[in-house]
Amino acid sequence: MSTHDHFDPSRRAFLGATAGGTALTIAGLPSQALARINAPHDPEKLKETTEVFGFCDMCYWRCGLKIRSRDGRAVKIDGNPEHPNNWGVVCGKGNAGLMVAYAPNRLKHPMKRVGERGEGKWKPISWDEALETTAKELLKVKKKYGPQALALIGHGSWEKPYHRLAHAFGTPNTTSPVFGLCCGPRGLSNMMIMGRNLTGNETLDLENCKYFLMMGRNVTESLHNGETLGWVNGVANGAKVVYFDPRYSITASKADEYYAIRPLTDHAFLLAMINVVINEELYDKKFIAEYVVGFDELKQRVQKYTPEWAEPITEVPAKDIRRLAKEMAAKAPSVFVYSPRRLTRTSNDFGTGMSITILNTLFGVWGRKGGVFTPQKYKVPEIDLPEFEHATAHRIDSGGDFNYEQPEIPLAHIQDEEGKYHRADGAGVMGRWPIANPQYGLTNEMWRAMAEQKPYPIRALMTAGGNGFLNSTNYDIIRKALETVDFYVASDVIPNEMNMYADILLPEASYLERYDDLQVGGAREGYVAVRMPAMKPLHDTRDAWTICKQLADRMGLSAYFPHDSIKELLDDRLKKAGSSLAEIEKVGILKIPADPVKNFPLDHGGKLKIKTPGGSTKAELIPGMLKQMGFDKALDYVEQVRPNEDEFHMTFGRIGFHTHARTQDNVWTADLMRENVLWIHPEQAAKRGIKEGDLVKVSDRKGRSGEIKAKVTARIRKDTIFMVHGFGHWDKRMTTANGQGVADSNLASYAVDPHVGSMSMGLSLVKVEKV
Amino acid sequence: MTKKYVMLADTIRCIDCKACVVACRAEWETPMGYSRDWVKQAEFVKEDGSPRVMLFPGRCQHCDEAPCIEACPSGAAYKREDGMVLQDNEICSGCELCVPACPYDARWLNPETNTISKCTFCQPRVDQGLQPACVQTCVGRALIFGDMNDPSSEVSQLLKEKTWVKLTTDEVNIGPNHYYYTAGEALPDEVMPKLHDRHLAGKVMENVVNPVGAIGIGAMLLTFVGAGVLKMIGRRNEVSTSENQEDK
Amino acid sequence: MNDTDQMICVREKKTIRLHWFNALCWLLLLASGFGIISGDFVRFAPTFWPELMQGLFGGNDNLVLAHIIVGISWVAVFVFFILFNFKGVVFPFLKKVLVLTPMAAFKDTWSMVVTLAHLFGLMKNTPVPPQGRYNGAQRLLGTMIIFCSLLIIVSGLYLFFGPQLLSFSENSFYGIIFRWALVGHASSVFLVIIGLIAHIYFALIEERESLEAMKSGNVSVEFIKHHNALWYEELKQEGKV
Repeated sequence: MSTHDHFDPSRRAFLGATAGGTALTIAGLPSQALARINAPHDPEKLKETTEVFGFCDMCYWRCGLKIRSRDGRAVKIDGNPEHPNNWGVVCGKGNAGLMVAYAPNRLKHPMKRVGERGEGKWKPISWDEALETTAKELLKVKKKYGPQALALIGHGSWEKPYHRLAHAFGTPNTTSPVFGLCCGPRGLSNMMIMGRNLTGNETLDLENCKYFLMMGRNVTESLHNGETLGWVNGVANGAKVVYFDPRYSITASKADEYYAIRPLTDHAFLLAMINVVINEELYDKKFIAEYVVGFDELKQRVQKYTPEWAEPITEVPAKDIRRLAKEMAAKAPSVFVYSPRRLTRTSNDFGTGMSITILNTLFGVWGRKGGVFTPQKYKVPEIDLPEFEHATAHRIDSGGDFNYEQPEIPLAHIQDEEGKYHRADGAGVMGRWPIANPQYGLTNEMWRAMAEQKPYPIRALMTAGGNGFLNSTNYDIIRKALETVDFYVASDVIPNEMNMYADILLPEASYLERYDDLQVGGAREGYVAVRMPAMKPLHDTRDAWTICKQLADRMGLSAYFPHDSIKELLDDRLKKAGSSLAEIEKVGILKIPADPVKNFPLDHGGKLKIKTPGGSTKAELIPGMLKQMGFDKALDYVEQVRPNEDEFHMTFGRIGFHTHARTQDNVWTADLMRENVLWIHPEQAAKRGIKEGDLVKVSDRKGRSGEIKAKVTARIRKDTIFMVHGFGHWDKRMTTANGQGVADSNLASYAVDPHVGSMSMGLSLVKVEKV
Repeated sequence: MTKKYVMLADTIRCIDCKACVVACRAEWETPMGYSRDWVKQAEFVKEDGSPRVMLFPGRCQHCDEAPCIEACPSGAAYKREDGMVLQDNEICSGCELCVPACPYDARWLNPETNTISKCTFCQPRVDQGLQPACVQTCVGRALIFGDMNDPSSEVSQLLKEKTWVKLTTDEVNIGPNHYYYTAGEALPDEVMPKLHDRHLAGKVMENVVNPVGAIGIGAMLLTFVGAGVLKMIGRRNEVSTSENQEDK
Repeated sequence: MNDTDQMICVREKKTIRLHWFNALCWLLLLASGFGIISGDFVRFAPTFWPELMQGLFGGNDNLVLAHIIVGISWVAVFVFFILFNFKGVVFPFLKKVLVLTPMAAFKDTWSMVVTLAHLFGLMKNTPVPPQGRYNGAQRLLGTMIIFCSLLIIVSGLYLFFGPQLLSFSENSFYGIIFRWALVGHASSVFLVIIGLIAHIYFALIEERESLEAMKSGNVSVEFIKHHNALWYEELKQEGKV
């Protein structure tokens, strides 16, 4: 039997025990230093995928890719580390390419228009019917008006077969916006002076450049990945950056010196720079002596363009102009005067382009480290093709640059003596736009030709990608053109405002779902890259080459598409180049390795080979060919528009994860930015009672307007507003982009450069008021 | 030597192109409305009135003393020997105790899996010798990843060559393994971590239930174990006393 | 104890088996349960314990599974026992054990206080009031254990099945309930442990004979007379003693 033993120390024991217990447990409580446990976990595993090679088509830089697929679906886009366009990096847009293929609202079936043109009412039809109808209608136009009555406008994924088809059809009227709406004045001015274009693969030795004088060229947001990376590397390697832009862009944030230059006045600054470089003998004397003509004439012409003259125009202090010239000379020839990619802003972009080229030439940057290198080209023969009856130039592979070579200039407006039709847009036609490039044409003038039916009837339109509204600045002309033609067939991956007008809509497979013709490019390395499909075409889509071949077969043009499949074409071309499709599919890209002797001849005892369109073997600071036409006056500065007290310069540009007018409906890129906003200086905003995020109305002198949210920021000049390009869609099929933001193109100017025929989009002046 | 994985972000090279964000989304099938990584753009006006923009790529910082791990009841949040803070979604309940515990806002409940998602330094890729997706895709080569305990690694070289800073404050100093290079420019306040109020239930667990339970159990144990021991001693004394008595 | 002491059987074999099943389950559940909670902010046990347990089971997911299997088995057995023995065992037990009114709670608490005081040589002159089958402390403890167990079961089921059957991202309440279920689960476990310590002390050390009652089911009448006077009277009236 138990006893209740009495412990004398029990009371004390109890109290002590409790106290001790409390103390111990508090001590044993989780201490301040974290005690992490160590337990077993199964690590997550990477899922199996297969991989193919390709190149991107979100923009026109076309980075080399590797695409991973699983269960027959592309799941991830990676860069190809071997490709000189990007060395393995891929931007946000490139990564979002998956959502082009998987877009819920992409074009899925061939469609036939059933309502009014542009109404957006469709009936799905079979491919047979779509192709038959297209062939029939095009041949009808050909019979009644001649083959030149067909215009092809491209801005899509690898539109090469469409150009071939159109040329086979017999029309010279094929165009892509790259010249007339974008790079024309820049490439052409380089071409005229140096015999080289420069636009294209941007053959710049950026890593080793020590001084970037940037006239805009927002290289960190207007992304060309390999070029951007090269520039970032150059900056990391100690290059000084002097950046001119009415807007403090991301590039400005990385500049050593930032000048909020008055819009449209870059030319004045550059002329003053040339003045100082010449007068203070800061130029490369040896280079000038050996490779340049026209120095004395140039010197005489720029005397009036002093820094003091330029200062009130540009708002760049004269003393800075003199200082910058000296700084550049100290670092020459590893310097670069950096043109914007798109030089279609002022009423004299051609002159701006010329002065940039002249300045680079004075510093002797060509063929030297830190300057402009000479690219190599991997020669891949074209397939055997019959002659093109009327084409003045056909789309040929560029080797580093876009091909802005000048053809023989024909003399009549409609037809030459051989009966070849001149281009309706006047590109390369004497009396119209003789120096404009006839391979890419003047897209703006082509639209006008269709709207006005001058110089001769254009009755059929075919588009391969592109958005004629959002990439042009005169919607009336576009609309008139679209309504006037007898027949419009549009081929595209995505729906948009332009292809909304089509009579027949052909749904293209995206670049992830198809082979395309080879990418032949030129960097320090020469290269040819292949595009392989990462998955089968979704829905009822077909790749571009197949569409063109099937149309060609129905129009008696099979000779121009002799292969049964694009794979055969690729193999044919590659075998002629000593390789094969099977071989290139293993590695994605074939290269001729970089060769410093070839790339930088002047650094290795070599010579620079120059041949200008004017026929000179030296760089022509004032090209003779231009003098013949009186176009050398472009070198002179032309007074630019200025806004009234209550107006702003209307500017637009890029952001790193959107491009053109095609990414705003992409689910992933739209998620990063759904709508554009209007950048306005805080003082101007305060004057109008505008706060951050407020809805404002922006309107131009022509009465065009839009409503957009405001971004109140000190990053923009007081006399300027800015918005990102490509928004303001109104096509209801674009379920993500419809109604978001404002179309900058509907506020931009529609002037035309008097020498080149390209667009001048930056002359628009707008008012802003709170809604 | 055990690895210590770190991420370096060179804000001079970063261009805010969001390639890292989209690549990560694609690699890990992140649902819309969420992201494992980000780029913060700090826009401000300097003293002289001129504008300034700084860019900060971010993600989970894989902290040395990660509070998410300590907030997690199931141990789904754990730290691997090589420093990676990982997520075991076999065991995660989706209770979200870890979410406000993270001062970098790196963690979120994934509506498709109903478990926590966050940057894992692309552990499945790294384990196969690949770079994290964001690093591989970065256009400016601003992101560099590697083992800082390996003196020959790129991160080790860069850490030696330049001065890198971490996002720490007086309030939040938990050993992040994400370094930033700003060429000496001060870090803007908006990119710094902020302590959040953790969920009440978790705080109650930590500050009430466990301590009170410990005190209660401890007191009970010591009282009754003590009592029991004393009783045993008493019994033995009693027995020996009675034995003594018997002997007499 | 005297060889001539009259013994009486006060507990059926199945009840005894249930008790020891319960004890075993509690042991396993406590061992595994304290091994599951991992993060330092919310963990009670020192780090070595979850490390040991999770290591033993090859991961916390397996440990949790073991915990829930034991837990559900434990509940299932009780449910079946209650279903089949409600009238015969369970209801009478509940009637005797449950403290349901404030008056009863006061009386039981008083009895417990006096008993504990006597244990430490205090309140020697205050008698312990006569007790029924279960004394005040046992009733209080029993009631607490029953209600705590119910909370443990409900919260435990939610902790395991909630994330499986519900989409926590769809409604923030699901997560709120989970987090508070954790609190409820842990709190009730601690309360039971506190009670258990006293229970084990009294069974193993202080009142050894009561342990025998939970092994063979037999207890001496003298014991009952001394400790549970009111029950003794009942048994006399029933003619069992």
